[in-house]
Amino acid sequence: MSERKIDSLLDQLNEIILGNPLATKLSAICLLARGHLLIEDIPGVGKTTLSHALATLFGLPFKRVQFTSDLLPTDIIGMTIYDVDTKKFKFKKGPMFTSTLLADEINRATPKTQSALLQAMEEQQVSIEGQQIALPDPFFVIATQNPLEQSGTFPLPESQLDRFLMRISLGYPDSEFERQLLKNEHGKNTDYQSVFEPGEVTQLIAQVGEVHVSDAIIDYLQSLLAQTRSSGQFVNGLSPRAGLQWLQAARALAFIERRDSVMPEDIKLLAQYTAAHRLHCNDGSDASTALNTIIDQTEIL
Amino acid sequence: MPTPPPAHALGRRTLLLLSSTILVAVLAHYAIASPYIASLALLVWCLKTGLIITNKKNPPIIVIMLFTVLSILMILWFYGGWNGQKAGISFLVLLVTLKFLESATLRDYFVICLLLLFVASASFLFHNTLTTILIVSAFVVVVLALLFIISSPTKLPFSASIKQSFNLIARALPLAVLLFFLFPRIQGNFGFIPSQDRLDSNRELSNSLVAGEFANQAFNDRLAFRAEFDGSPPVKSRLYWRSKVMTEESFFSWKVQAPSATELRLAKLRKRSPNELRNNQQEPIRYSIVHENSADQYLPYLDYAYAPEVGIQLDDHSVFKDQTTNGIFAYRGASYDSPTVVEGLPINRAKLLTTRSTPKARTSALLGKWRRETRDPRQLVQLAFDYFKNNDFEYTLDPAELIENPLDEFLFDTREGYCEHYASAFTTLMRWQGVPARIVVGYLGGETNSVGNFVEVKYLDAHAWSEVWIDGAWHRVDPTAAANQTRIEHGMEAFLNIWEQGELANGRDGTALADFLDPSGLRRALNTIKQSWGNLGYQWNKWVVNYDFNAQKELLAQLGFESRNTVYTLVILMSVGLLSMMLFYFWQLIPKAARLGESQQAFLRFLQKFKRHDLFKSLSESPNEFGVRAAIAFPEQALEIRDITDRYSQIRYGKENSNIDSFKSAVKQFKLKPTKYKDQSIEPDAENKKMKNITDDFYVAGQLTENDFPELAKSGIKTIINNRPDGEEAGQLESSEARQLAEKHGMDYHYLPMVGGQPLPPMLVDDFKSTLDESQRPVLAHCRSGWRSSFLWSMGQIAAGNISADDAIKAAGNAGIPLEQARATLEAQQS
Amino acid sequence: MPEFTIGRRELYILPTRIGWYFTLILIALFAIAVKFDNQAAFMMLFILASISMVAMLYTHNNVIGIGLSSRPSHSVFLGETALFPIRVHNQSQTKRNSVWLVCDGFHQLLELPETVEKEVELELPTVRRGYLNCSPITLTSHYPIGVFFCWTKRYMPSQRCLVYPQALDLVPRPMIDDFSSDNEHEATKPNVSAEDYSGMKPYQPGDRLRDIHWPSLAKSQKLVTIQHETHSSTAVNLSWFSLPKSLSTEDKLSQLCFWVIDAQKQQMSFQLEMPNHTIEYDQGNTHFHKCLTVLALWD
Repeated sequence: MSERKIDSLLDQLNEIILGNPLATKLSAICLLARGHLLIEDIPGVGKTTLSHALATLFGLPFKRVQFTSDLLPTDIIGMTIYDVDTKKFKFKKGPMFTSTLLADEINRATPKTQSALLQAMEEQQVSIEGQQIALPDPFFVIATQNPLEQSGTFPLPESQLDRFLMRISLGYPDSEFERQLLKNEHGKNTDYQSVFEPGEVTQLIAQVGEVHVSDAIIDYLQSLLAQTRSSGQFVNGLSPRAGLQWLQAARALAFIERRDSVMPEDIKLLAQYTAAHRLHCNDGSDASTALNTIIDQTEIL
Repeated sequence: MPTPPPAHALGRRTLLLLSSTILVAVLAHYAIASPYIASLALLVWCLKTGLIITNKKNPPIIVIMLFTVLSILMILWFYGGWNGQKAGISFLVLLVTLKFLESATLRDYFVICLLLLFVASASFLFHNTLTTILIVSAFVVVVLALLFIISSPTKLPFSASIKQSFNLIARALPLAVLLFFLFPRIQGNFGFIPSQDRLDSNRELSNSLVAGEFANQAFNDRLAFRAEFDGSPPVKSRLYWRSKVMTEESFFSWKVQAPSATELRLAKLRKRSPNELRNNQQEPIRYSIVHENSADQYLPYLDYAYAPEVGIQLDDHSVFKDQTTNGIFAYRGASYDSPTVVEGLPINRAKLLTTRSTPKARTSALLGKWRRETRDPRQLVQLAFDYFKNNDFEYTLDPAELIENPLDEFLFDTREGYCEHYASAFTTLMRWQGVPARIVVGYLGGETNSVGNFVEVKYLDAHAWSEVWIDGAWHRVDPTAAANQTRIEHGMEAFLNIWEQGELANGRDGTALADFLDPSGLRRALNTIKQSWGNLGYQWNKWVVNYDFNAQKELLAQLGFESRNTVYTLVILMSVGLLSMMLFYFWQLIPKAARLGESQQAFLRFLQKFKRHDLFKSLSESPNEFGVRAAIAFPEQALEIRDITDRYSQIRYGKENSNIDSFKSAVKQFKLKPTKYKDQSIEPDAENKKMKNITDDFYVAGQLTENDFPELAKSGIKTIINNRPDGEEAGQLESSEARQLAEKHGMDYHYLPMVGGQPLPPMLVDDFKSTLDESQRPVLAHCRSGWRSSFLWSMGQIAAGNISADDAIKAAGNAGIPLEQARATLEAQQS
Repeated sequence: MPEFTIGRRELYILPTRIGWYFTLILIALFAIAVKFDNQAAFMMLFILASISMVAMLYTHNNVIGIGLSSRPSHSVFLGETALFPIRVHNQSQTKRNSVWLVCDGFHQLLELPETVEKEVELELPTVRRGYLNCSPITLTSHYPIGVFFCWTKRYMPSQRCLVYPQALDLVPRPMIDDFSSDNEHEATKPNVSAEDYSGMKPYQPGDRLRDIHWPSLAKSQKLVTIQHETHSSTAVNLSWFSLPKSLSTEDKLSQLCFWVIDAQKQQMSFQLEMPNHTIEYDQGNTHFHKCLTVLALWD
């Protein structure tokens, strides 16, 4: 039943984001795998539309924060204010307390603000003055970042990229779809309905966890991880967390494709999106090329 | 050839190990050659070992030269030249030690090891026994282990090297056995090999019988020969092995009269008839004898031998060999077991009555007494025998010395003696009585080895008995039997046993005998070990030491290869055996890849089938991805291929445990059919040839002929695409001709062949589609039946997203083209 | 998975000099055995011959099936030693004893237990900038008793090493900040005032007031200051054209290389201007290597 719903969700999403079924699928995978998504692209290619549509279709509350250089951590986490009536400090929740948060142009904010968000993403909670306040479940952050060439920004430190499950870019649409987009005069289609009931997503995520992972897949993934560490091409190999997230994403992919077990091609497909952004080549060359080489040299049998 | 790896230094421990191995060879040399030469080798060894222990450098070259000159001089002095086996081996041993003295590099140590192997092998020229082979084997194992250690650039512990050495030998042994039995033993002579030394005379049974000397044999427990009977061996008391006959008496000692040349020539011509020997017996006893190294020219045969294979049977029934052989030799014998033999030949009566000694007073009286009683030879024999029996004559290995008148003293005073005393006294008495008599020397009895089922006759079994001539026949009389029954019935070893325990003196109650005959406990176990060892030695002699060309012939006959050209057969058998064994080893020793699961192996077999058709799974391709690709390449078998890859994916990655066996059988049954594009499903009959429209402006057709072109042009076709490779079938219209025809009729012509039996080139679908898109419509595509054309069209259209796989199959189906079989491929294209 | 797996066709085998000596010994033994018709000597002869035959198989199988692959090597500067990491895979369940890896006269001994991968770093001198290819590699072995020697076909590692020009300081460095007057670059100039949050520390007199973390004061009554790490605000344009014409191309490259390293050390933002293209202002490891790569491959 829910699989059907997933299909219809993806169909609708593809109607909204034209001509990029992979990106829509990946973003859905990201949500189902309890990961966070980093979209790296120039403005105006539909990042906001995608995140908004994703949240709405999954039936999750959605908030958007435009990151600017003067944004402070308290602006997103919330702050303690002095309640004159009760004569006590009271925590006022910031926009972070939502299920889907679009952190738009995250590289415009100062590292301080960035790290506040990143910490919350990592821990699924915020600590305010020694108090731990849990964030809603699921908590899904879609951060967007302008490509590094654009100045006046604070690009996310390379080590922090590990907190994102995936990094994707949307790219320019095909000429055909762009035509369609341009022709579509009624503008953005915003009248979409949620496919899932509020509680259903949690169930869905639980189902993803049930997707079978055979020993052969574990072996394969492990050998890939080991090679990123031993190859000597990268500054650091992939962390165990990266491996876990990669596997979880593969589960979500298999789930979306209505399979009950992960296949090696799932792992391969996701490598570019879940692993490449965590790796940095020693000599500054492209990490995804090096990663592809490793994948090409790893036997699947 | 790349440069060899750098040489490594050897540790002191390795050098000391090498040194002690050389010491073994040097010490063993004492057993073979002159002790002076062995001592020289030992001296050189001591010098070098001392240098190793004290970590000193090699001595100057002059010292080594000095030793070399000394060695050469000593060899020349002691052996009088270079020729000879002993000179050869002494030279080798000295060479090893001198090489050791000057050794400094890795190669030197290798050479020393090789020389040691050679010395070990050459030692078989001197000693051939089982013990030697065991010692030499152990030596070879150690030298091989040394080779392992020396050639290993890393430190190899001695125990590990011994283990590896054993492994190597264990693998080599079957090959060696095969070579040993099948390598043809052609005779040859190599001039450069030292010639054979004359062996020391090793005649254990002397050609004369002197009272008191023969008894020494009783303590010689060296093996004389082993005899294996075809049936069960006769009882011990009948095992009279005749070696030589003595007729010349001189003062209580006897001598063999060597056969003259004439006698030998006559004997060679003469053959006794079986009837002469046969005595109630139908068949002779047959046996084979493996005789130890002996210089004796008389060969032991059981009495009375018939037509001996080896040697010449003399008139006195002994068998004489012209030449002595070096080493162990074997022969077969046949004998009629009988105590008497009728002689067809006249005898030299005078000679057989001659004695040098004359009877003394007491003996004369005895003789006179007997003569008065009877003149009958039979009774005279009985009287003499009874005299020994009734007068407390004792059989002893330690007889009292006979000084002046041996016979008198023996008969009346000492009354104790060994077999030679009895035989000698008896024979002399008979001759004095006028009865022709002679002494036979040979062996009596022998121990039965129950492990190997043969009789082992030692020199201590040597025995002398008498033969008397009565009524034209020789009768065997063993006077020893009158004195001691144990020796006769149970053999010498039984007697020795009793004798050693001194039971002879304490009365003959026979507990020791009973104990000997039926040993118990430890003794029995020891016996078994002894017998097993004896058996091993026997087999070694029989199969290895005595294995010659004749034995090879026999082996071939037993194996059923009775061929005239034995050498040829042997070479063939050896080559085949060697080759197959090497192949087996090669296969067995090839490093096995890390073990794969059952399903993986089956999947590899599946992939192997594609390799033959040039379709390879790339390393990182998942089974599913390969399946999709393979299904496109082999569209007719797409369903099968996808089924197998799906099953495999399910087994490897799936949740439920799928049935591996059914997967394996599916792989087994799967066969790639290289003719898949030859679309045999449709026969190109008249109807099929007609154009079939797939869409309004796209048609497919079977093979076109010349006559079709005008019609096609008439029906408005603007473009023709040919998907059938030229020369698929005899009489097929060539594409070049077809092009001319088409152009003549105003049609465009494209030739896009799709070759059957090969993976689908990925570009072909695109080419087809772009050609189609750019061509003037309507278009007709054709192959043999139209299947390939429809398939290519469908692939192109599906890829472009114009139609679904279902649509394509339906469209083709409407035109009568069964595209269903490629459904999986088409569906794959769709996704 | 190795790039190169030694199969039967990639393997050659011949007796060593010791092997020929061994053959001589066998021939002599054969002569003796025939001459004296001594079967025990024959037996020894055949045992030794069989040992050498089995040893041949041992030698051959000691190397067959070993896989080789090359790992990317780190870029080095001219004059340094280039390291080529070569992986040797024993993919089988058999131990490989004493296999030599030979490359250009360099010998490395390898003991490979069952299913083990080992890495060997081949050292090659650098004589020229640009890509340096590793010399061909062969494996050899004379295990077990040194009577046979086998070697493999030459394997060319696929990875190459990028050799940067030698860093030489020949002329003074161009002026720092010489681009600040250049308005064209203003837009791309990094935000000079940018400050990175790097941690907290107890207040010390002299700390700026705006750095005090006021919420902490409310909570813990202690003054805590926020620490910032300020980026270097200098930037430099390293230009080919600023170099004297008298310098040779190699010297120019060496000089630029020196400047690039220097700028990287001082964490400056720099731009590399070459005759055909320019790598614009940036900093960081990636940028650094990008510039060096351009210099290394210049022709």
